[in-house]
Amino acid sequence: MFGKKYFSNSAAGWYWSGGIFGMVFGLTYLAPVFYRMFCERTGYTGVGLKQKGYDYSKMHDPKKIHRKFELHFQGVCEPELGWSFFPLQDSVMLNAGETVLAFFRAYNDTDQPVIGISAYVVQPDEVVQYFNKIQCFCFDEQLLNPHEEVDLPLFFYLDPKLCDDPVLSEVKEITLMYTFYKAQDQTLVELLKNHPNSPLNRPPVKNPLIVDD
Amino acid sequence: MHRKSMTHAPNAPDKGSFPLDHFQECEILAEKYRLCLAASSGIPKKCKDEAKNYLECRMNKGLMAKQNMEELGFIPESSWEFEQLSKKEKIEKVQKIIQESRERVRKEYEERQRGNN
Repeated sequence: MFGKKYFSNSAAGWYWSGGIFGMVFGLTYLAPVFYRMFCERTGYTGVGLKQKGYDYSKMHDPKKIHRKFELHFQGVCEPELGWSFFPLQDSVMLNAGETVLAFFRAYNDTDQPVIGISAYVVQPDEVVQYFNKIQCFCFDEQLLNPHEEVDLPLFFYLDPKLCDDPVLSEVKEITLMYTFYKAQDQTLVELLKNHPNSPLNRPPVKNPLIVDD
Repeated sequence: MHRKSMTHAPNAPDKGSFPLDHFQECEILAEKYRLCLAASSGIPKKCKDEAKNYLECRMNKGLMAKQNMEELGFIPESSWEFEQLSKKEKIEKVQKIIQESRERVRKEYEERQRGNN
């Protein structure tokens, strides 16, 4: 089949390899397009892909509801930030697999809008792999207007596998500490100052919990 | 023994970051939850209803992606009542075992006494 006709001269070899190379190159460009078409048509999400598992009720393990942990909350912030940041509950008593809601509060003491970003640590260290946040305020830039106060909610659970970890078999107390830093990139603040629809130019919001006499 | 995975960097939250409630729309429900929590000596299981109300408020105001509350862990099995019931069952089971073993020991003792006489 691939007789003399196609490989008659050495140049043919270059043409063949160039052609094959080009074809493979082109296919890799088109692969995402085909993939998307295939997925949309068949609805197949892939056997190997790990589903995010948004059903948190599956985390409930009836064998593990009686082992309780006392989880302490701490909030600190960088002095340059000029905010007050603290937890609204000292600690909670929970078991692994239970979804828990907790709050922090941040107050911008300064006259400038400031963007902060938070990170957290967990003590003991080994617990951090079992600490799962469903939703929180961490790792995302948070902008606080001057003298604005906001509640920062945190919705999380401890993975029940924590109870199976021999290293943590004696653990009864856990500490969760959030730190707020001033975001390096404050350009959004500059943009907001100059924009006519900026939230900085809105009238201050009345806190429904504060009653004026 | 080499520990499989010791500490690893914190990862992103599943549902991302909570949008800030700048307009304090759900603040009253948040405060109700916090008061309940303080009254329950820091046991969030006792305040599941208040937490559920707050999260539903957030969902209604577009401050949280809508999701079935059962999927967020608000199931009967994770309630305080269920836990108390489960605890009571376990205690009763243990008491029953202790009672049965006492009976067995008593019977063996009596048989041995009878055997000696």
